[in-house]
Amino acid sequence: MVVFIIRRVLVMIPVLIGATILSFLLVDLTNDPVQQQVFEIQQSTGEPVPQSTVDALEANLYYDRSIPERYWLWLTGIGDTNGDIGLLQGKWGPSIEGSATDIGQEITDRFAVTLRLVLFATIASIGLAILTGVISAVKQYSKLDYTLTFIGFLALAMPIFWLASLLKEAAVQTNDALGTNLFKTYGSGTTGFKGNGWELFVDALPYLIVPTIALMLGGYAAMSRYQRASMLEVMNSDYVRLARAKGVRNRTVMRRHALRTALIPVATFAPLGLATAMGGAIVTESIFGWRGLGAYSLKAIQDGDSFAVMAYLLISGVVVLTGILVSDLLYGVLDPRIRYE
Amino acid sequence: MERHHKAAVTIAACTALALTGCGAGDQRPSDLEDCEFEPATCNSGERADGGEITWALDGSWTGWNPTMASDNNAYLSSALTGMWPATGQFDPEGEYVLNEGLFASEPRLTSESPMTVEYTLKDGANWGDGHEVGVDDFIYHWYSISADDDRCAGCTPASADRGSAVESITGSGRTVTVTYDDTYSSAEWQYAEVLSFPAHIAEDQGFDWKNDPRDMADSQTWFSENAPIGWSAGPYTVTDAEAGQYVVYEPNPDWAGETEVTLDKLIFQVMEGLDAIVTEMRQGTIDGASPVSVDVDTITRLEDTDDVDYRVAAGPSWEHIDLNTRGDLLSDPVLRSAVLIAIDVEDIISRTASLVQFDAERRLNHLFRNDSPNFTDHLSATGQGSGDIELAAGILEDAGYTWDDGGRLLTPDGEEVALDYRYTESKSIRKTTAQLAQANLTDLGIDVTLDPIADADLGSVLFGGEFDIVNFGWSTDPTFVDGASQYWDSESSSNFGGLDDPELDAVLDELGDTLDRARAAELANQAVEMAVDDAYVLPIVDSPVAIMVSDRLVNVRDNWASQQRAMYNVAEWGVSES
Repeated sequence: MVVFIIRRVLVMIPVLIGATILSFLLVDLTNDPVQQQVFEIQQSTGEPVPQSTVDALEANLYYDRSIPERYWLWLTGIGDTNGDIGLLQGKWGPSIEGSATDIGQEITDRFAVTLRLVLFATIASIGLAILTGVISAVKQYSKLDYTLTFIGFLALAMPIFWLASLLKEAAVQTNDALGTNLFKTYGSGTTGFKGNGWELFVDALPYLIVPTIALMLGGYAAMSRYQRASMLEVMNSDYVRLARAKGVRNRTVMRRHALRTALIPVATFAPLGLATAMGGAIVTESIFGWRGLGAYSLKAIQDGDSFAVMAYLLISGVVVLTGILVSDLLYGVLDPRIRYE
Repeated sequence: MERHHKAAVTIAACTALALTGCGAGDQRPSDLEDCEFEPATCNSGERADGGEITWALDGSWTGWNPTMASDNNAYLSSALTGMWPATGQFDPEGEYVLNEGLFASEPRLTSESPMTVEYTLKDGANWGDGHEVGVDDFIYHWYSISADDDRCAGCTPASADRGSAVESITGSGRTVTVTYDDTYSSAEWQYAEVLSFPAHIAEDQGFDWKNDPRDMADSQTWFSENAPIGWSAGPYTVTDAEAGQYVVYEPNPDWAGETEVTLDKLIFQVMEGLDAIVTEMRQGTIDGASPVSVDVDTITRLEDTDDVDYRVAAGPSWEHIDLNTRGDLLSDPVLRSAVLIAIDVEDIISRTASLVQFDAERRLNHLFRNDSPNFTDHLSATGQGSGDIELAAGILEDAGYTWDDGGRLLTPDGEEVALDYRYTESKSIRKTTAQLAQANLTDLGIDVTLDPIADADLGSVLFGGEFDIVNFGWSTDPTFVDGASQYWDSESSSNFGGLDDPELDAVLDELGDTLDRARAAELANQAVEMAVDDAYVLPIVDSPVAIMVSDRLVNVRDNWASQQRAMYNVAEWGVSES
């Protein structure tokens, strides 16, 4: 398996480099952030921006170099004169937002915020998907099965931005009705709140509930269908029928024989689901005002902050590729018929 | 909107009652509805001692140094308003109010050539940390905006028009004298910003800013990267802050201003998106906001929200349609004139701004709002913006333009007139404006292609002149001298449509040279008239903006004339005593 992992990781490298080249070209060819910044400054000050400032902005952001040069600098840092660029040297490059913004620090801080949301949502969606999928399969064609199927399809059909907006409004109405602020609908914590880990968690909890539900519902529906189909397939397999014929109790058959095997597709889907949820988090974070990775990427794209966009795309690429790798590995761990060579 | 009609009727009725001596005891407390008639005193009231206000800012900032290009934006300016050493502020009536915590008297012009301005600091004006404000602070600010590597090596000031023209700054006691070089003069010298960061803090951080231009630049970066905690020149002092997220203020006990601060705490919190702001207003998690845009849905929701007062009025930016005078077809002033005449501005306003602001009116001067004492209507008589297709067609016909059998307009050379119209796609007002203008111009036989621009590309489209017609907005305030040159001077980088009118340039030069503000206003109007004759830019409307406040707040009102909008008078903000 170690050889398999090494081989897969080595394959990931050219895939990532190819993805970064494509992304870099797309980002660079579609915007000129310096001119936009100059325009906005002139709007703000009502005066022309000094040419020396324009030149400095271009030099600071390496817009005085050609696109291939900029990519090379971004990747290697070789030839850098400002000491702030070179991915292979651990430098993410300068942000259009100025020296006060360190892209690496922003990515780290915001990744933690997004991970909090995505992790809770993914765990909850997997739990809910397994529960509803198994119940639907065991009670196939019952009213309960139809109801759960209907709810699943409803969640699947609703765009995340709509679902999140509805849930937000429901939370506001609930707060109004109860005369409390039980559900927080903007931000990921109290403004300026300082405390230890536990205090921070307790403070963040009211902010976490509604966005987690929104992201969870978006992710659970598809997974519950997988779980139902997988459970039905296993329940109709020979070894389950044999177990029943041997007189093993139905509950034991379900738990020990059917469910364990039926969990394999969902378990292998989970890492990829986590990566997919990060994409969904862009919308959820925007609606609930979370300062996560998704919101950061959105702003970076809007502002044409090319190195920030590249950082996000690279992180996303790594997460997705890692998710796929872990999924593949889990197949081998959970299904004894699969061996890696 | 209905609500404001009712408000106008109510106020008129109350005024009538007051004049007849009746109902004196029935006077209701002042609120935002009064701002239509009393813009600088509406929503005033007695303040309780103490209280806390959380105010939402609908945009963020990245660094803390507004003099630097990378940090400069209106939201940073708003976020720092409680502690910043501004020279003064325009109030909602357009009157300039000097910073009472810094200056003992109005700046004085002591010499016209070279222009020399004398500032008298107030006794006790200080940085909130035991240091008095002094001449070094003036010099520090000058260096930071000088765009001169001998003073600040590698600095990137957002603007340097004034800073690069300062010849010397000297001090004597509480008097500071700023002398400019012979090339510089401005009729608006009294509004110049002369302070930013405390020089002694830069020294405390180890920067030899006076003698080493590199250290000076590094100190600028340091101020950009570090929140201004521990010092303040305003009524409040920052106790906690995160760039782009929030600023927490508490009263500054050392402030030298006369206005008593009553709040215990003032929080500015970034909250992007109108929907989020209104939702949080409904829940009472914020007490107010003055976002840069407003839509019908927002107003409907505000109407349904208890304990929240709001008002929609003309804001600080104005929408306009510009033509590219360098274009193959639009280089012809006759065609430009016909295009601007064919566009029906009143119709555009009725389908855009009027949906949210019942008294929205057409802007009729590029430099002066319709309620400015310097305002003159230079547009109506020309027919520009009237939507008069017959008039436009007549002008074109006289100039040799013709129409083919399909009704398409052809130039005297027989070329079909086809133009592209650019606008930023995220602004619904601009999309509607574009569609209506397209319909108007189609009636004239002009084939108009709508080509939306991503917000982040507006700058490159404008600087690159990649348009025939473009619709965007300019920010404004009661100053006008710099604006005129910026819009129309043939050398200006903001003259995006490339207008090149030597006579207009000469007027702009004279406008830049005069120190007499009344004469400057005359020249500005002359410039507007000439720009209108050039058929270059068609003003549409002052974009509507909203202010929404919890009805427990007093002395909080919107202010189009200040970049800080409602925050222009935070020292006076308070929680109602009643």
